[in-house]
Amino acid sequence: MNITFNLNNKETTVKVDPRQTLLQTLREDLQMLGTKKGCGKGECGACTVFLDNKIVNSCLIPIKQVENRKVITIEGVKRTKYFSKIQKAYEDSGAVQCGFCIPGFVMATVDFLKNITDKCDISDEEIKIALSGNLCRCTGYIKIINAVHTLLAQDLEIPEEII
Amino acid sequence: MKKFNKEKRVDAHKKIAGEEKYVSDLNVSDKLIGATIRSEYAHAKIEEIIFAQDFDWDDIVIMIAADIKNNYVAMIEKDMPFLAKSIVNYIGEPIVLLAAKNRKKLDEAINNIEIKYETLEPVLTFDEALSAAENKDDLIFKQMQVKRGNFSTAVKRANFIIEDMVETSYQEQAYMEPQGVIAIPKNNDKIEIRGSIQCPYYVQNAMDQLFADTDIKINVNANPLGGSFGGKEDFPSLISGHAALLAHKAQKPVEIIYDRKEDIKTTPKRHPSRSEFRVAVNEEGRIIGLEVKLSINGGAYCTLSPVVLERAVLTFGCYFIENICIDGYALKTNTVPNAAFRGFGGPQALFAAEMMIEKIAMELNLTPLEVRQINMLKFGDKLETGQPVNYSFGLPECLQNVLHKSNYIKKYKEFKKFNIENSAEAGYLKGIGMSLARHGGGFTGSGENYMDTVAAMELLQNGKLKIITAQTEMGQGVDTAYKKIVSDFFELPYSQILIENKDTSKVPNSGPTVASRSTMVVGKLIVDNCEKIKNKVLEEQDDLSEFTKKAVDYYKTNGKLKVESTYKHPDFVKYNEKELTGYAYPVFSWSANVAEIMLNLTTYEIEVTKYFTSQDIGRAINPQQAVAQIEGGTVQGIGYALFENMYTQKGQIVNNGFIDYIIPSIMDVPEIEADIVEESYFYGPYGAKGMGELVLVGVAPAIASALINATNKLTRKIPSTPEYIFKLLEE
Ligand code: FES
Ligand code: FES
Repeated sequence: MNITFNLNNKETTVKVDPRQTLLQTLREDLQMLGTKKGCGKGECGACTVFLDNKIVNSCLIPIKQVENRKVITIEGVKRTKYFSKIQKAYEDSGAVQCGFCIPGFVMATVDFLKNITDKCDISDEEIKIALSGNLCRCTGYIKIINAVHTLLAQDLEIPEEII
Repeated sequence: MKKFNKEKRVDAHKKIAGEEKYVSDLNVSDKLIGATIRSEYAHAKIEEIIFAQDFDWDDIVIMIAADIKNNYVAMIEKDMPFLAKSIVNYIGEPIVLLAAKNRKKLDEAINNIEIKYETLEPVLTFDEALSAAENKDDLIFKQMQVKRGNFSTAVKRANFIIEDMVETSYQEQAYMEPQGVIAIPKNNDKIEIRGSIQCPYYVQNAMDQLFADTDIKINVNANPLGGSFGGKEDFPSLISGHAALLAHKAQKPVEIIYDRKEDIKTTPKRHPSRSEFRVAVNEEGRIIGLEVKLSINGGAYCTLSPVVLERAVLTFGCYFIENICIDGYALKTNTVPNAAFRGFGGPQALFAAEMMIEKIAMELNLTPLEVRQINMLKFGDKLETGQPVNYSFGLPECLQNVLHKSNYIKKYKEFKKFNIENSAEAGYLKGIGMSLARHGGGFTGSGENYMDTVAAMELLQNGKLKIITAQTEMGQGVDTAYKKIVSDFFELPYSQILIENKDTSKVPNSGPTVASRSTMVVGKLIVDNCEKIKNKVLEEQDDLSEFTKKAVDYYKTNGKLKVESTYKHPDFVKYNEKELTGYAYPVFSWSANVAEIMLNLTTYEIEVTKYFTSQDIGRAINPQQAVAQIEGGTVQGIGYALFENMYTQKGQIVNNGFIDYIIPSIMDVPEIEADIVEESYFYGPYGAKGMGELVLVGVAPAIASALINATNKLTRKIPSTPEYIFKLLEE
């Protein structure tokens, strides 16, 4: 069957097997390879994308549910103005090792920064809760938390529509 | 030169943007997908493999053992087949390979294959293995002994003889990127292997042996890895063989990428271990004799078990013990083969050694710190192999640092008092514990000298330098470290320094990316190569700021310049591998660690609240990433200590993924205070020695020690799950 949805602000139609997931569609049919598969079962967050401006594990979303909805992947986020700041914060904090989990963390970071109203006095605990859906085996998370603190100190404008 | 941040990783930028190409991102056209059909029994005879007659097999590529001439995966032994022929030895052992255009086709094919078995008696548990091994030598992969002095005379002089037994469980590497390779055939006589491969030359060697007596030439090209921790050291040789066999038969690219469940259930893990110790102590608490029987469960095939065992028996704590005898056994069982994991035998041995210290403290009514201080190695002391620690020995300073930072001595008493007076009301116990740890850099014993490790460097037309080694980037930051070494040498910006792909057709065999050797050993060769290039390009009086200009001139006049260096240990580093005496390692890295925990008295859950560590890694090439390694290793060690629990049932691993194999999440991260002691190693690049494994090995014993402070009972088992603690407290 054919399915149409908005991918990173572009109407996209793709032929799919109705049983496949959004992650499969992104990676296998659309060659959007920035979204990673770490478990395929909603346990690691490597496949995090935005669906109608909310983060989801794309490996859990049947593609049929995506019909006429809006999907944003790391390929969309990386074109935004604010992304370079996120990139710099992660780089400067030394928050990246193997990098396999990182696009997922970036998506969760964007979501956190977008939804937070008062950026002052954010504790480690709040950041941890926001990123708790993402696993990383390399970094021990601390430098990722540091990167988010750096970003909180800057005034990042993240639009409601993400991109 | 413009100043730039040299600590910044060279690969971070693209990884953050999702642009790094891991093996699953290669997008090779016209590829087939491979799948593995596996044994359902831990030990059985394969009677028949039945391919359903009414199924259309035309589009399916099939491989069985009978199709493979050299059916063994070359490692230390040749015991493991690519596909089981007549006997299966563990649940999950590969029997049939299939490849098809898509997953759907594959699944249909899988459903049309039936395997008939005659079951045999398996050996599954430690107890079974130990008792079976007593009368059957072929159930022992390796047996070895480290010995000095005479334990029985020590016993006669001792005031106390203390014995106990401790156990450690499996640990799964749980790299975020699962195992995967793709084999791409080219013109009938070539196959390129690309993949998540920690050691491309291991795979090269295995493929050369698999395809020996054919005209097929193989090259192995390691992609950046999405984590490995040892898990992709030996195993990729097996799946590369699988993919290559299918690809050769189909004459099409074949990709094999495991899903998480398959990865957890069938790939190698950290060896479970059991250590029984008997220790002779005098009245001051000095250890005068020690006898240990240390066994590890190797699983069904040998893989790297002998060398894991060797490192284990050579890493029994940071103490001077005059009379010592450690017997090591690597046992064969009908379970998934175990192999390399960061620490490589060290974590098991250090856990046992540190629990021995704790037990002595309990028996003699001393504090664990006192027992450590009485017995700790001193500068100039000789280790059990006779190797003196008389250079690059930062352990005393590490200990001092960590005691100071953590306020251990005061808290040790305070927490005990709290536990007696306030814990019932508070609902939790508090604990503070410590560990001392060491890790030998590079291969054990003579390995490094046998290897003839070669690294190359090339001067390019535009004056740029290319670093040419087989060391893979798995997340540990080797590419950045190497660029920094060259950049520091020539005062060049990173843009002037390139790194060759880790492709065996392009890089020499600089040995595997293992054993904390990439910086210490191969990094040294990079410095040697820099020296050689400098000598060619610059006259003695020239200063380095002219390097690029002179290099361009040099190229114009002389053409290409490529240099190579070969590694040899310092002359005095000699090891007797029969007797296990002499220099087991050219140098050790050291750490002292303190962990604070809270033990919930309702749920028996343990939270690590603070972690202090001081680590002597020699000169830190990249201080920021060194601390990043420490943090990552610490958190991985917390999982090992407390909740990474593998369950087996009749030899089958029950865990399916991260829901039932719990690795630390961001919620489990304590405050970590790390510092680095830079006791320079005279032979390493700028004084550096190994660190990638040291960061993990001391964690579990420090946490176990904190548990003892909380419970007043010896921690005999890791992971110390709530179930275990519950039982311990009920005792
Ligand atoms: S791949 Fe989707 S959560 Fe792990
Ligand atoms: S950086 Fe490797 S998993 Fe996060």
